[in-house]
Amino acid sequence: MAEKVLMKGNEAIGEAAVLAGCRYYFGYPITPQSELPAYLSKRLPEVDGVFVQAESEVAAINMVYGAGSAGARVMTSSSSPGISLKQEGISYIAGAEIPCMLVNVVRGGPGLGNIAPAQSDYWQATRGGGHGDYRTLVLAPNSVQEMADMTVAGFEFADRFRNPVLLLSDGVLGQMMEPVTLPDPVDYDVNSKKWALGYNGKEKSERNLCSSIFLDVDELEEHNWHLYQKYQVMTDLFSTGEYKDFAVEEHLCDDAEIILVGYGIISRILKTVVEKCRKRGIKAGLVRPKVLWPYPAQVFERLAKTANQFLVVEMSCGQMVEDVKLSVNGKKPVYFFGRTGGTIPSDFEILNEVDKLVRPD
Amino acid sequence: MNLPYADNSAPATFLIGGTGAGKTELALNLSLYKAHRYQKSTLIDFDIVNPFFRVRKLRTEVEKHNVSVICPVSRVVSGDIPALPAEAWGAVENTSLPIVCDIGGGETGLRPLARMSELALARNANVFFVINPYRPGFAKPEDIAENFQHMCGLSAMKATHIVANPNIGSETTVALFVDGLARVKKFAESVKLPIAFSVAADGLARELGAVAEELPGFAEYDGLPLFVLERYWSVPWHFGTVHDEQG
Repeated sequence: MAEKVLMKGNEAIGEAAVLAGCRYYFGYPITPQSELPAYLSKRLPEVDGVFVQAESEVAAINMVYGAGSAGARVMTSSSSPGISLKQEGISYIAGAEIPCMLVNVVRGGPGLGNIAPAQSDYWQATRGGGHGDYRTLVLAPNSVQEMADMTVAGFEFADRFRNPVLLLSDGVLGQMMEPVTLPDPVDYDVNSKKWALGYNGKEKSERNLCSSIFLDVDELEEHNWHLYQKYQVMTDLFSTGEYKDFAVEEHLCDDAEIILVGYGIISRILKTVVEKCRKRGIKAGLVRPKVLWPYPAQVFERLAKTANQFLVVEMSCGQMVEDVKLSVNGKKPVYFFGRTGGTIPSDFEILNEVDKLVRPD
Repeated sequence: MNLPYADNSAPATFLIGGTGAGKTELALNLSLYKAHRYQKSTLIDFDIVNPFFRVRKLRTEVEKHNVSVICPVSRVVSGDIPALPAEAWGAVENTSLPIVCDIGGGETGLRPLARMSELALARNANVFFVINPYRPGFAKPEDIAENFQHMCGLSAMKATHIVANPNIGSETTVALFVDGLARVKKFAESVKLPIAFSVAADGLARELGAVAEELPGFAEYDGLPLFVLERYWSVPWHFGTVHDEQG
């Protein structure tokens, strides 16, 4: 096993991308993700890779479109306002079915907001953000180790589904330092994609074209239903298929009367809250979605039969709570507690909210 | 035991090194140590790089312990702008004042220090180059050497001592500390600089058999002073408190 090293989350993503075979990065600096491009600006030339600080986020995402179309493993990253700028390109990439890795180290919004950590880009991440009927696979790490592991997994998912994958992180995960065991390097073959423009393998391929334009109405409808069917396959694989265990973490849910729900950094605080609840005789459990789209609705459908209530905690005014409500489907009450503007809720204040729900007197 | 740092002959300390070497944690602890020993100290937040985990976040906490904090004014305290506090120059010029200067690491973070290099030289300041061999860019001897030369050059500072801070956070073991310390020692020999001290959190120091009489404070390990510190940067939702996440 490789020696553990001490890394920032942003650095861990960068190194994991290189180990996953990514040789192209295009981006533009913005706090609190700039350590990622800074890391790759040094690291990629060491492995004959290409790093470009583009003139803008819009330029960067279109460079990703190009490199991905050619068959390369490619990444871009930004923080909230920069991700907003990239949305048009992400829509094109999804429409043209180009695999690529996107990273959002979320900061406070809306608008310029601030540089503090937030989870207020959930809707943008899981609902597409750009125009048209498309979906982005969204991964939500909660540690520096997972920043690395999910980056490698993300590249694999992107290639398998020919779809953009978004790593939804936040400022704290990007900046905090934790020990990491780096994943093993992947021997990526740039000639493994027969559909790619840059395919130069042994097998003959048809003339390749990567585009999201379908002028004929019937063709575009057929393309949209094709995308829809692909999203259905992804949903099945992440809910009941081979990735169901990857998609969600449950902690002490079997006998839980109250289920706490949170993703990313919040899930770590909630784990502490659950432990403290148990010590106080409150039967609490934790559901932590690790994949935010496709959403692990099946877990909530099952737990709605045994638990009495759900408390969703987010660093936003309440976004993922809507998916929990859709999944629970009115069978049990779903409550919300959030902090916003860059404040990370403490375990004490969440415990207080649990107390109010469990012991209303 | 010779404690080159603790005799206060050079009451100004500048911490330089790569990002994430542990400079801010060390700066907080050193300023608390100085304040305890000399009634007061001043901690200068010169970090223009990092958006979080900066000294200013713990200002209230350390000021309770007679540490004055010089940092950007409150309306830009959470900002992402390279604002340097003007009072810092006065503090560095005042040779009677024990100061600890924390900077943001890496290429960008070190540059502003060049403006202070002459003052630091005039004050005969301690310039500690902090090394954690478990950080990217500091694992191999040749990488340490390259970064050392580069970073000293950027800051226009001449390192007077090396500080060995081998750790991977909460999972640091005795074996890992010992191996990392050996690596830093080897590097220090190659550049002919003394190691001022090594650094360990309280729990690890006890496992090493080194007990400081006070925290933060000095013990001895492997023929070197060992600075035993309290961890101020714990899980980020408990800034400023030593906290066990599972507790």
